[in-house]
Amino acid sequence: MAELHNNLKSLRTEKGFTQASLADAVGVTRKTINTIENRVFTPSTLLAMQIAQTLDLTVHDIFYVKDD
Amino acid sequence: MNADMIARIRLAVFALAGLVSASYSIMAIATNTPSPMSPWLPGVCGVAAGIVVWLSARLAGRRNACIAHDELYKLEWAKAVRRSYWFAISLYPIFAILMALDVVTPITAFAAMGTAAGSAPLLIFCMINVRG
Repeated sequence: MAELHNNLKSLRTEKGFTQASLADAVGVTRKTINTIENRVFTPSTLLAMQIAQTLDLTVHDIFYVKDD
Repeated sequence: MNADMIARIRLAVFALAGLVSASYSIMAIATNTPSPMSPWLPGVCGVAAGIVVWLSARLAGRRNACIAHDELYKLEWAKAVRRSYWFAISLYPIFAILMALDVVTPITAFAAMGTAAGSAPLLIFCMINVRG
């Protein structure tokens, strides 16, 4: 079954953001960023694009589909 | 006051209001009386919870309030409402059996079901939020 994975944690730290600073930049709580990184929560298209824009990346750089 | 603080306050007051309502329901069944404590208490706790959340959002400002009510919160609340709907539906057959066995009177069942159904979304939200 295909599942949505992400590299958010590594890309975020690479770009010098903490969970709190990224959350503040995109207008969500720190917990939302944490749950995305841990794959507990799948963000909306809008939020995924806002995160990508803030990190100066594309959505495909952060999120990818993996067949398990 | 920031968005995380609003979220923490919200969780605390939801838990408190939910526990008061759930306690009322459990005590009503245990004592088979519709008023095991002041019947105003669950309602007053619910209204007080709403006022506290509103005040914290007001003090934190519009941006922080919007952040605290982000899409994860909306998703968790929607999940809690969906599950509590089925919980409330399941109360009908359960209390029908309890009434048929003369464990509770209809008026006690009315009080216990109402407060149990009222506490469900609050407590389920807290469980989902803490687990997430």
